Amino acid sequence: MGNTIGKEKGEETVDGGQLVPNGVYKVPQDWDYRSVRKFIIERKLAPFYKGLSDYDESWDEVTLTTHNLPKAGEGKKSTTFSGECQSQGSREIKRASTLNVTGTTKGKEASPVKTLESQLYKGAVECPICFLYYPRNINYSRCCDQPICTECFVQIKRPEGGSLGANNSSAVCPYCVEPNFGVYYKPPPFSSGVGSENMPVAIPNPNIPPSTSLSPSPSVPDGKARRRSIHKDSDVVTTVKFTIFVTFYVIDQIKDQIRPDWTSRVLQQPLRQPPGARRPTPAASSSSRRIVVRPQGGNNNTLVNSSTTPPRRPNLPPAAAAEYGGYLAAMRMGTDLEELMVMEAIRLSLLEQERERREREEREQTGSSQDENSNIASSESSTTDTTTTNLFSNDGRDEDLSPDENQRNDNDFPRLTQDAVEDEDENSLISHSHDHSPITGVPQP
Amino acid sequence: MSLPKRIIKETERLLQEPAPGISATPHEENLRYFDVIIAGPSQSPFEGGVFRLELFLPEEYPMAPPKVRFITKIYHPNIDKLGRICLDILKDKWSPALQIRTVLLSIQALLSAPNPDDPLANDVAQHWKENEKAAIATAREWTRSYAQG
Repeated sequence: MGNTIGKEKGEETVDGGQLVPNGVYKVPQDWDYRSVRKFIIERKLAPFYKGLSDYDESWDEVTLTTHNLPKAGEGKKSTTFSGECQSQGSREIKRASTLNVTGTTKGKEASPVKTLESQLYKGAVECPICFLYYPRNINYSRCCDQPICTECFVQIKRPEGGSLGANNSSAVCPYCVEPNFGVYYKPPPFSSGVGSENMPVAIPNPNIPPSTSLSPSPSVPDGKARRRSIHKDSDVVTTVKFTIFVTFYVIDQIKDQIRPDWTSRVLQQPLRQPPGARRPTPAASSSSRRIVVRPQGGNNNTLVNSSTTPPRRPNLPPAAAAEYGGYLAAMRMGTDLEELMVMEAIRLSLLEQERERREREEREQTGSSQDENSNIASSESSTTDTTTTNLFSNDGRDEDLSPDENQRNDNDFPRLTQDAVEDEDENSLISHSHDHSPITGVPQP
Repeated sequence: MSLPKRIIKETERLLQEPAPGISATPHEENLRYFDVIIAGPSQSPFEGGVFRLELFLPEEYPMAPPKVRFITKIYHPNIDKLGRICLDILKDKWSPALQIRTVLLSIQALLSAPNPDDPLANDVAQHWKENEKAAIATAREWTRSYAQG
């Protein structure tokens, strides 16, 4: 799976799950590992449970334990399911052959662990986003009570097209499109692992069946019961800034809780990577953050709105006002490499503009004196100008099928590329705003 | 590269229980690429037509929307001559809780309810607004000419 879960980290567990992701998402991860870890230990967010590919309510505890459950917290890749099933009954063999759990698979198990896991995965629920089965005590959206595993939750973020200002749109619930998406987590009654010593001994949770129960439990928890409990429950984690949620509970109103540096990191911070997550190529992730376009002093009000946490402000290099727009354009480009290229192009272009302006002024003033930089400036001018113009012409359009994008990203989509290139009035086609289309998606329950 | 479990499961479910009037078949050599067929909805100018589309699941899927395009020529104010579709859920209103199935159902619904006020194909939209009857007649004609499977 490409996971490189460090042994020490991998052995830390919370409520039978891990503190590091299992690699369901392969793309570079941008959330703050430390914040997420903290929320997991505080039992505000479910741990990273292993997702099961398959689950059947009729499975009894033994089947569950011996065949489906990964040994959470163990970095071993010693035994595959099929291998392990050889020693078991034929029914299990059949069942297990259809199973494949993402991430590492279990090794030998001690019986206390078996008990915990069979309790956990009893009545497992399917995460509607990754389609894997998780213990029913995973996170639930606070708006519509839909389950979401932690691995999917940390993928949800604010729309990148948004500005950094006060009107920055919040992340919306993927299920009901309610703004200010937040989730809550209720630990199982047998809460264990890191931080469990500080937990109340038994947290009453009607949704978790008693550990001794062998009867299959309903896989979908009672939504109404959960809903009612929301307002008593202060443990809500959001991916967004939001205001007061319940009167007696105010969490930081400003920050994205799992991307606390959302505002500032694009300006300067290097990414913190969770140890278990796949890393982007070092060149792409680190260097792109190093080249920085920062607003000038005078532009700070535009960029850092009063309701947003001011990013740490480094010494601001002299730059033109257009930088802010360029920065936003870069934000929308999506990938690190593109961001890097745009920022670099903008930087060069701005330097160029500065030089030209200075030159002009000097020429006007002295008539004859030569700027030392003019040679460099003219040699760079042709390339940078072209680059910048092209990039800006695509700025902000999420036109999926524009020729540029196809050529960059969609080699698997040859027909599109071909046709799109033939399009002669590309610009007129993509210049519309299509925010209010007649059909709005109805998220499937 | 291994295919995410979600894509495998979605494909299985699509093949097992296809949505009425819709079929989506993955390419053998690229399981992220689907051949799609949508039947023109009844009581729409596209009734009786068989529309071919292509659908591609990008690397970021389901965190990014699938890319969908009509291959069959269609006269519709929200679909341009390259087959590109103006549908918010394929752009900024995408949610990872949506699926291939829901996307295709939405496209099918878009055929039943053209929206000339949010056009992708300007000339078609103009036609639709100025003379809806004539525009619908053209759409029917195109359906007969180009969308017969």
